[in-house]
Amino acid sequence: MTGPNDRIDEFELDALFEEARGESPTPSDDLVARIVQDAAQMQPKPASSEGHEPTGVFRQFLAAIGGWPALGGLATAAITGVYIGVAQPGLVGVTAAELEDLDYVSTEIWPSDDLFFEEG
Amino acid sequence: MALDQSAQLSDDALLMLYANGDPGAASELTARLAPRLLPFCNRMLQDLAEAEDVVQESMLRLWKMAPDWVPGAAKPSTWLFRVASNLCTDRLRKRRGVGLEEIAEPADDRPGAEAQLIQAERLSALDAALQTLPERQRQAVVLRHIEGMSNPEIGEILEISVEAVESLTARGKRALAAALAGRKEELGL
Repeated sequence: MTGPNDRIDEFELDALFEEARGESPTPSDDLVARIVQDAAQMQPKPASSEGHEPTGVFRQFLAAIGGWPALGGLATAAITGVYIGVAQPGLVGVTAAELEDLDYVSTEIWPSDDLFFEEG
Repeated sequence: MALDQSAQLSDDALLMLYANGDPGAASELTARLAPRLLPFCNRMLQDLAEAEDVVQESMLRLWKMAPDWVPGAAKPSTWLFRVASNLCTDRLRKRRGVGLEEIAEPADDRPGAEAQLIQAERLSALDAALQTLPERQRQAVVLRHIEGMSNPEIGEILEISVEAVESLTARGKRALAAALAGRKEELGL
């Protein structure tokens, strides 16, 4: 049986808690190393280090049409279109119906008013 | 990121940095959180090696959860204490199946106990008295009076109301005083 003088009061208990607070263990270097190692293993990779090549509009376009060979074909077609537009060879403007009525067709690869060879 | 810069960031911000691949954020978070978590786990388990395992496991769960972390929803430290608290409870329950005799022995019957006990013995008596409390009381008392947390924060960790925390800590302190009663002189109080 404990008497009134044997009881621990609130202040004495608080003093014990205070003492306990000051005597807490600190993480060892080994524990810290283990935690940081876990963190490195679990860390999501930054977006810039995932091995993606930079994607510009041109690169997307190139991929969409099928790469460099397709771009070569497209360039040839474009240049041909420009030439036809500028030079207007004789057959341009002749419809299929007109061709059916003709026995032969005479045309010039280079138009008579040749824009490319005239000077001035 | 430079250490002096990361030291000024909140735990929340560091966790976001970690999730975005910052290489220094994890070290800073570990330096802040592990020293707070370890004493709590050690006091609950009375076994430093086990306490270290629980701290490592809790931090691992934090790293796993980082990509899904919602900033401002809860403090990472509160979340971490909740995880650690549950892990300690799991380990204590497993121990109960093994037998109470394997839990650290109280130092109250040590031969030659004198009026002027050294500090280590006094703290050992406190730990032994803490072990006599029910788990929830012990967690609440340790978090409130040794870790110095607020009642609302403890409520979040233990997932109970502030009133329930107050009740647990009050009953815990009464039980501790009762457990230590009669040893006042022996403990040098």
